[in-house]
Amino acid sequence: MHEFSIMQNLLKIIEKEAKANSLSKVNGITVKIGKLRQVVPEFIEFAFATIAKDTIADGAKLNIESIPITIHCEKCNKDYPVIEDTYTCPDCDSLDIKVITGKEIILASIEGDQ
Amino acid sequence: MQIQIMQDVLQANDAKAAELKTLLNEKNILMINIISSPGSGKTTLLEKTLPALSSKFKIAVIEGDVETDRDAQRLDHYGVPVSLINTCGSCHLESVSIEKALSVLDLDNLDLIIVENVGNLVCPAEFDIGEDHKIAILSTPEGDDKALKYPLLFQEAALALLNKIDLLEHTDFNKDTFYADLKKLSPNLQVLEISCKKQIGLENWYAWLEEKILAKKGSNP
Repeated sequence: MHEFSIMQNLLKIIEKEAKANSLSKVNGITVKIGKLRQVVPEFIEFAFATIAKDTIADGAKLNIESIPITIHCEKCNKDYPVIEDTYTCPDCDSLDIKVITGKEIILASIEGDQ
Repeated sequence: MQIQIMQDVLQANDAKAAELKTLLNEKNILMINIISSPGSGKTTLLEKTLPALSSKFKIAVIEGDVETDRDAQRLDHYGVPVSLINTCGSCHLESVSIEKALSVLDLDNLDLIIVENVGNLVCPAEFDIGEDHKIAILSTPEGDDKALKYPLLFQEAALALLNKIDLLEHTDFNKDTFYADLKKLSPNLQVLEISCKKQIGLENWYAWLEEKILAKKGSNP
């Protein structure tokens, strides 16, 4: 269900951007979604198709790009990919880490006709 | 033509959440967001917590419920204001609904707002509502694999309550597995083992909460 809520927000931004760029039709949308978000691509596609019906983005193709999870170790001052759900530093085992990517839901671009 | 946008889709929710957080900071009110599956014991925890702390602190509850007012009714006799949000089928609370719920509370006369989110381990973790802390509740009958299956909640939470600890021996819940998973997934997460029904470990929860309330009250004298 949160897919619908996310898609409603997405559609609002698409409509605003399409208007600002004088698009008459939106054909393609690219979103980048972090792996921690637990968003199911099939649901997203279904939710988007449902919500976009009879809007400027009706029938638009949704491309979903996945963003991997990375952490930053404060001690080593380095970034690492997260492997096997482990959120400690792979070099020094420090717990003093921050998740730097993996939580995003970003509208990257839209493609359409003027 | 292609148009580059790169905008955070949840920005509207996050901006509203930040606004609410500023408001609550000005009022020195602590707001916690309790998240769990249906049936893990969110409402029962409130039924214990409200009488235990309401003589010391001024508390209000924001109750997120998909369809009914049953949870709100259960909390009706504790003498604290309960603001009900029916999400009408939606699986989580968003900051816009919290803003509405806050508007009927007397913010000049409160120390703590407890938000009982909709029963769900996935979606509520995605949406900030302006809270100071997310609290995850997991109950032993749900199984020890839930942290790994729902990593975002256990990473966002400031505290996890492992409820129904009295039922441990009747379930397949393996505490070693659970703690080993958490150590990888969210190494700094504090866990308190409790049983709301059998009154086990609740004093540790009250102490945690009290410390946070006092810190918030003192933060902006």
